[in-house]
Amino acid sequence: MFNFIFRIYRYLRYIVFAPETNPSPVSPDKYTNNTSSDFKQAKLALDTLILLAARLQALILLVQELLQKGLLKCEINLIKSEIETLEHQLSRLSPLVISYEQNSTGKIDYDLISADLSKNLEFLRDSLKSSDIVIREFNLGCDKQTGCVLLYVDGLTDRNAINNTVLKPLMYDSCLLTKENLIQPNRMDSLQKNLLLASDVTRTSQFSDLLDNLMRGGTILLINGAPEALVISTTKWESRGVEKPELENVVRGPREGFSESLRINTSLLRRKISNPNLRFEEVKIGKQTKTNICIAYLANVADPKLIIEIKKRLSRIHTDAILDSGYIEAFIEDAPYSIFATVANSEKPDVVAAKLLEGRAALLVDGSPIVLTMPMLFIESFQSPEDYYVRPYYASTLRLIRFQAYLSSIFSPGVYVALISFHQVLIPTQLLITLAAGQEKVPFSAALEAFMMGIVFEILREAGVRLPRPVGSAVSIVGALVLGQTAVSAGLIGPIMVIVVAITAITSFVIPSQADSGIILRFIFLFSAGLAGGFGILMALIVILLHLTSLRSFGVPFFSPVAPFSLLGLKDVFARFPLWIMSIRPQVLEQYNSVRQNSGLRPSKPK
Amino acid sequence: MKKLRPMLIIIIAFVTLLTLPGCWSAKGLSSLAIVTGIGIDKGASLDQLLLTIQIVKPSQAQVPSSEGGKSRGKAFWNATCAGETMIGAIREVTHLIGKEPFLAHSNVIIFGNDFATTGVKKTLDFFLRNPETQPTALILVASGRAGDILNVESEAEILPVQNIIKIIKGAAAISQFKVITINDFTNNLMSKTTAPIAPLVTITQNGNRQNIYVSGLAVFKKDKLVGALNDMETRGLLWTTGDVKKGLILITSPEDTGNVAFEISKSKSKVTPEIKDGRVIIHIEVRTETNLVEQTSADKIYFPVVALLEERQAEVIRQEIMAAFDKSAELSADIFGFGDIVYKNFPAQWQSLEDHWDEVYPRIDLVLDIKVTMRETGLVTQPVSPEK
Repeated sequence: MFNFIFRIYRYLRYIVFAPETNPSPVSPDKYTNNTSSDFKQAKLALDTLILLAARLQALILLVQELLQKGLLKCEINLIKSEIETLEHQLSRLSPLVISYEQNSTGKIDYDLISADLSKNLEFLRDSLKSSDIVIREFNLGCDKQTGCVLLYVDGLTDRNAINNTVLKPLMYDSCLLTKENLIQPNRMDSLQKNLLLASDVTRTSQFSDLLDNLMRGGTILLINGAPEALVISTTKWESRGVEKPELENVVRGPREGFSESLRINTSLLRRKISNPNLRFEEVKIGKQTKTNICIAYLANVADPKLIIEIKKRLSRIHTDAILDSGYIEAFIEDAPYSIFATVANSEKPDVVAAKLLEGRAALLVDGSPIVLTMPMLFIESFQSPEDYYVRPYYASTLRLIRFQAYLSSIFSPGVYVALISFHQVLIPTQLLITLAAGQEKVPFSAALEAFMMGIVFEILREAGVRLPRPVGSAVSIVGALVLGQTAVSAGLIGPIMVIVVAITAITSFVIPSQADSGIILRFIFLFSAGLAGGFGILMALIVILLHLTSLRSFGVPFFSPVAPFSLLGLKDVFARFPLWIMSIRPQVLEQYNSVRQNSGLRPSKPK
Repeated sequence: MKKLRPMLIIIIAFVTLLTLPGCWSAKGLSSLAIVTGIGIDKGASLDQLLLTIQIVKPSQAQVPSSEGGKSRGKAFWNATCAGETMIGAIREVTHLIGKEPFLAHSNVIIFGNDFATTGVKKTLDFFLRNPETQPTALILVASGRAGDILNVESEAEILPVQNIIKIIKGAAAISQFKVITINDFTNNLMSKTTAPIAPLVTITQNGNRQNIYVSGLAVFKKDKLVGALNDMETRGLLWTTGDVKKGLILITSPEDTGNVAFEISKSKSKVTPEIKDGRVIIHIEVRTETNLVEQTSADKIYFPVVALLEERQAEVIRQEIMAAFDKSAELSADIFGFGDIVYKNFPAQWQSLEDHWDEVYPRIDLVLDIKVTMRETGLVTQPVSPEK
C-alpha cells in the first residue's frame, strides 16, 4: 500500500512540478502547432489522472479516519479491493505511466511525429548516431515532389524484402496513384492499402514507438506532410537453428531444442499445441535492452490467477538489462534466499508443452534457449521427459533409480564420514579392517579429507565445462590419475574416499536440475556429519525438510503431492502410472479444468 | 525482539541438541585399535584377571591385491594384560600401543577353564554396561587357557577370531553345540534355576598344526563351571529346546546287516510340565522329520519297514535326551530351564519348590513323546547289490 501511494505521489509530483524544474531536451511546445488530437489525448489522460488522484485522496482520508477510530482491521478487505481498483486504473493510463516508469530519467517520452519531414529527420539524426542505421531519402510519386525517408537497421532487416516490397513500389508504382491521393491527409492509409507489398504494416505517431520498432528490425517510412510513420515488418537476422538440446538428452522422444530466437521458440510450442487457446503475451522488460518476454499459457487450462500473478511480478521488474531467462527467474522467484530453485526451466519444447498442458505457464525470453516454467514442484526435477515416452515399468524403475542417485549424491560423503568417525560399530568387521588399513596412512580427519576431495572434484568439473574440448580430455586424464591413483598411493586420501567421491560425482549428474542445490546440500551434510555424525546428518535433514515443505512456488506448495499429501498426485511421483490411468491433471496446479481425458481408456482385446 | 524470539528458540534448541546427546567427539579410524576378541583367564592372584586381547593390524590384515604370494607378517597381535577389573586391564593396552581399544567389534569372548571354575560373574557387568560391547558377542569356554585359543592361526582366515566365528556359525547347523551370546548367557544366569551353558572349544593337534575344535557344551552352576556335555548329551538338550536344525541319526538297518544314516530336516519340540502328588512330571514332545541319506547294508527299504526305521530313530533321540538329563541331574544343573517352565505354569506351587529345586530336579519324571517321520529316501529305490 505504501509503495503504491508513493509511486502515485512521485508521478503526480512530476506532472505538476517537473516541467519547470527539469525541462525535457525536446521542448513540448515544439510541436504545439500540431493537430488538436494531441491536446484531446493529453486532456483525457489528465482528466483520468485527476479522477484517480481524487479517488486516492478519498481512500487515504478513509484510512486515516479508520486509523483514528482503530477500525482498520474490519475494513481491511474494502481497502484492499479499492487499492486493486486504483492499481488497475493506473495501469490503464498507459502509455503515459509505462513510459514514465520505464524511463530511467523519469522523463515522459511523449514526443510526437511532426508533419514536417525535415524536422523529423533532424530529430532522428540527433538521436540515431549509429553506423548500422541506414537512412534512405527518396521522392515519391510521378513528379517526385513528395520527400520520403526510409529507416532501418542494417543486419536486422531483409534488404531484398525492403527493395522489392517497399522501395520498388514506392518509387516506381507510386505513379499509379493520383496526385490528389498523395496530398490527402490520409495518404498514409492509401499507401498502406494500395502500394506496399509487405504483409505486416502498422502506423504510429510517437517517436518512442518508432524507435522501438526500428531497433527490433522494422523498417520505418516517413513522408513529408504526414504526422505519422509506417512501420513495415522486414525483420530477418542470423540465428542458430533448431538443434539438439545440450542438457536434456533423450533416447526416445523428440530431439529438437529451443534456440535463441523468440519467434522460433514460440513456433516450436505452437507446433506442439495447435490450439488457439495457446496464448503468447509479450511484454518488454529492461530499460536498456527492452527485451521481449513472452508469457505462454493455455487459456482454457491455466489458472487465471496464476497468469495475473506472473504479470504482476513481471511488472515490478525495473532493471537495466535482461540478457537471459535467469535474470527473470531471479526477479520473480518466491524464495530468493533458498538454495532450491522455485522456477523450473527446460530447453525442450515437448517438456514445456507438457507443462503448459498441466496448467503451468511458461516464460520465453528473447535471446535465451532456456524457457522458464512455473509453478515448479520439487518432484519435477525427477521427472524426465523420457518417462512418458517409454513403457511405465521401465519409467518407474528409472525414476526410483533417480531418487536413489539423488540421495546418494547428497548423502554419500556425509554418511561415509559419519560412519568412519562416529559409528564404526555399524560397519561390518571385515570392512572396518579394510577401511582402517586404508586410513592408516592418511594424516587428515575423514571430514577434512572428504571436504578436500569434494572441492577438487568440483574444480575438475568446472574446468571440464569451461575448457575447450581438446584440452578437456587432458584434464580428465590428469584428474583421474591424480585423484584415483596417485593421491591414494601418496597417502593423501584413503582408497574408499575415492570410491565415495566417484559415486557422488556420477550420481550428481543424474538429476541435472537439482545439481546446483545438490552441491550445497552435500557440503551441508558433510559438515554436519563431521560435527556430530549421524545425529548431525539427521538434524540437517530435518531442517532442510522443514525448509522444503515451507517453500511455495506461485502459490503452490513446493513439496506436493508428498506434503501436503495427495493420493491422486502420487500417480506420477515414485512410479509413473500408465498414461491411461492419469486422467486428471495435477490437482495442486489445476482446479477448474482438471479432466485431461476420459477414464476407461485402457486398451483391451477387441470383442 | 518479538520477531527474533522463535529464531532464538530454534538456535537454543539446536545447540542443546548438539551438545546434550554426547555424540560430539569424533574418533579417527587410525586412532582406534580394533579388538576382535577377548580371552579371559585367571591371573596370578585370585582377584586378578589376565586378559588376552586380539588387536587387528589393518595393513597386514588387508588382502594384498598386487603383491600376490608375498608372505606377510601376522595380521593380529595378542596383547596380554592383567588387572583387577576388566576396564583396568583393557586400559593397559592403551599404554602399550597408544591407541584406544575399540570393543564394538569384539565378537568372541572366551573364558579360560581355570577362570570359569572360579566364576565368570564379575566380568559380565562390563560387557553389559559398556556402550561399545555388543550383547550379541559369542561366548565360548576353552578347555584350557583362553589365551591359547586366540593364538591358533588358521589356513583359511587371516584372524583367529574370524576363524572361530566361521566355525561356530557354520557348524552350529550340525547340532553338536549351541550358539550362545552374552545376552543368552546372562539371561540364563539371572534366572534362579536355569544353568547357563556355553560351547566348549578345544585345541586339536594335527601334526605340526594346531586346529580349533568346537563341540559339546560347558555347564555352569550359577556362574561357576561345573562340567561339560559331550556331543550326544548336547544334542539331547537341543532336542528338547527345539534347536536341532540338521544333523545325522545313525541306526542299524532293518535286517541288522549294516547302518542307515538319516539327515534331520526339521524338528519341533514342546515341553509341558505337570505336578502330580507333589512330583514334577515334564512331558516332552518331539516331532522330527528326517530323510534317508545313506545305508551301508543291502537291505531293501520298502513300506513295511518304514515304521520300524522311524521307531529306531525315535529310540536314538530318546536315549540322547535321557543321557543329557542324567548328566544334568548328576551335576544338578538345570540346563533345560525346567524350573522356569514350571514357574510359568504353576506359580503357586513354585513357591514350595523354589528353595529346594536342586533336590527336586534330579527326581523329575520325564515323559517322552517322540515321533519321527521319514520323508524322502533319495534317488535310489533299489539297494546297490547284485540281483538275487
